[in-house]
Amino acid sequence: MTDDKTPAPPADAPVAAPTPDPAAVAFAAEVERALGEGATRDALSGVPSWRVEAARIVDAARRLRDAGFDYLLFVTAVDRPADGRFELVYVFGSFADGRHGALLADVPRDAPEIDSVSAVWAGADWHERETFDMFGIVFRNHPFLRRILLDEDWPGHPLRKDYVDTLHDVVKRPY
Amino acid sequence: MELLKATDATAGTDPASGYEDYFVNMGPQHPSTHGVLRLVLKLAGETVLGLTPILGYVHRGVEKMGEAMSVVQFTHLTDRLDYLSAHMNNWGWSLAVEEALGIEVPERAQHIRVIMAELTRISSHQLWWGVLGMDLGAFTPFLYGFRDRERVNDIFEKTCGARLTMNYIRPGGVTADVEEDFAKDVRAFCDYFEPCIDEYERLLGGNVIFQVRTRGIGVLSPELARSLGCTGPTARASGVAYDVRRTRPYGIYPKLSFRIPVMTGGDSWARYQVRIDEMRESLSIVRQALDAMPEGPVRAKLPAVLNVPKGRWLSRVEAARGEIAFFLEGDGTAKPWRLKVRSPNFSNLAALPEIAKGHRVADIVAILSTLDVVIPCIDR
Repeated sequence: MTDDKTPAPPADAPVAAPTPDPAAVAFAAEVERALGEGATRDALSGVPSWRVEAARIVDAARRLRDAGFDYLLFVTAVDRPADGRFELVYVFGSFADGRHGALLADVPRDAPEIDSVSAVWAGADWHERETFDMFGIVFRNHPFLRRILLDEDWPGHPLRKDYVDTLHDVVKRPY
Repeated sequence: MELLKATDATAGTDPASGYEDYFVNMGPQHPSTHGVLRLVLKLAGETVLGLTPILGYVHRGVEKMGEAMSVVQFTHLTDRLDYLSAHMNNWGWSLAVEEALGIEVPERAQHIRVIMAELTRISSHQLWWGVLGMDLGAFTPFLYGFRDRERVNDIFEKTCGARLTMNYIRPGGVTADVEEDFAKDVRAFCDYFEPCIDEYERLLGGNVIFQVRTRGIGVLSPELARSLGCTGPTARASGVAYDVRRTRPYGIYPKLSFRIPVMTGGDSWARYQVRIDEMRESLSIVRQALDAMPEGPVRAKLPAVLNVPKGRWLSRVEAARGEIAFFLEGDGTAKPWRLKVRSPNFSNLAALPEIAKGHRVADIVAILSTLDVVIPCIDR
């Protein structure tokens, strides 16, 4: 074992110091130009993210793809039971460079439905099926919306925070 | 036929002969699927009309498990995704955590990470090469591939005690410094393995039967590859010059000089060629990183509890099969609020139904083998 000479970071290190990186600013401008009106920058730090109305998702996806963001890394969702919504996360990038951003859309937790973007990025097909499987979010106009990883008759949607796994009880944390 | 799309579920009849289309299950237990994957084939004679992969046989709920453990504890589960890219998966997860917490990784650890990642790529391709031969009916490559892979595994075993599930690269650096003979062992392996690649090419690539079995089989167009989000050797064989090590460099990759092999054929043969070339490049990367490896600490000093700050973070790493990405959302506590693994195999396999159409059953084996999918990574 070698001696650790690296100083420990301060207890509450500042996260993502807001240094205006010119490349990040240019990227944000490019995405906002592509998305047009109605997209708001999300305040959460980390991945640059833009929120659009759920009804506009296909239009926003098409605009991004046409602006050169031809790579959809994945589609997933984040459960926010305190706000009564699911947040859909579409992480997009480009095969030409390493930039990425996230497109966000909120759907209500009691009636989660949104249009499918599989006509824009073919890869969304399976990712949306997985999101349907794990969260129970319905993707309208999806070519084949079936569970993909779990059994057809599996009870519930495991990645919802209120899902109770009676068999393994893996999630110890109350939400 | 609940599991199939309507177009794949209805059987037609050949008016001339009166023969009906029929369905065959390939898997879930089938040697060529390299794991537990079920393919439902719709066949007319021996020609594949449609194909539906049925996934989830080894779904373990890794993402759900991650919500119940700390970010350091989760590292060991990343080994168990694509178990042939264990070091790269560890690295990807560590990058996400390091970015979220603003951790600086010591220079020596950066070099060890690159060496380990590229050795993993080589060992993964060795296994793929051997198994590809076996899938197509040649047993010798399997023995050669595993013979050489042992040497890489020995290096891993000496360093971190494990041969498959490493859990070695972790947030802040690596578990422990490499042992004394590490540089000597790695150099000896590089010198040993370099001529072996030529031998591989002569043995399998030079074989006429192999060429006939792979040329023009399973052509993936660059447009489809992009639209489906295919990455790694699968996409590069289709002319998509995309490699995370180049487009979004991480670690010390920007300081190293290497080529990204790209082919334009898009068929099984091109995918074979890309991986063979990648092994050569990886050897060169390993040597460069070894030459430049400084002395010093291998771990950053971390607080006892790593609280993930509020925010969403994404790390992207080039694993042996393509881009693996870890999405981490923190809520200020030690456990992730949500984490998501973007599996390269999941997106690569999505190309299979399209590119398999019109080929024979035996060609499915060649296509599946050159797509080089690892099922636990798909099912997570």
